Amino acid sequence: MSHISSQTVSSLNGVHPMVLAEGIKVACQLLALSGIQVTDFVYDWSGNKTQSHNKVQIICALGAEGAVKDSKFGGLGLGVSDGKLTIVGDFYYDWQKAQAKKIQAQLETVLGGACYFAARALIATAKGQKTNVTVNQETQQLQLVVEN
Amino acid sequence: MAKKETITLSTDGAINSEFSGYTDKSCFNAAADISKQLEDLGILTQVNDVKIKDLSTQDTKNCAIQTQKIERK
Repeated sequence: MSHISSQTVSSLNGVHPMVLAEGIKVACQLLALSGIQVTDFVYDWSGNKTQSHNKVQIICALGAEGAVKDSKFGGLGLGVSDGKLTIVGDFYYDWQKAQAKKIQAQLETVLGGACYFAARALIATAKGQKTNVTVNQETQQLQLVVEN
Repeated sequence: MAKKETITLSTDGAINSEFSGYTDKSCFNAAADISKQLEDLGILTQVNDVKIKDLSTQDTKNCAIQTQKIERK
């Protein structure tokens, strides 16, 4: 039994789909610094690991704990569909719906900056510029250095 | 001094972009060029969210002119 659903979100409409996909990865990497569990799958009702739904590939998922039927959070899966941010997950119980909303809000706080970060890296790579990405656990920041 | 741009992303989603190794005017041009390329990818930058500073002169004015806005919703 599964209640996995996917829904598109209007955040960052107009951002190039490739940038949005890379931005999602950066956002998940950043949120991991805050202690949020990051996986490339969500759990369904029975505890099966799911990496796609209705042709939407999950790029990364936040907060996945375990089987939804066991009253665990299955995870907020993130993908791109028709160029839009798409949320994938099984949020059966009310508390799981609330948890999903809370994590989505945390994601949307950082996603704009994450897409900027990803876009800047893509531009630099396309231009053949030297790039270096570092993670600062102490300050909880990601840093990209681009050199000519 | 090598021309470099350092982009820092914080957990509140704020972006700080600093240019070093540029003269006043070339920093302005570099920031404008990057802003335009970002805009082509759908990324607009907001003056409150992006600070561009020329470390060679410590002058924030010239490079700050070209910031636009990061759309979050």
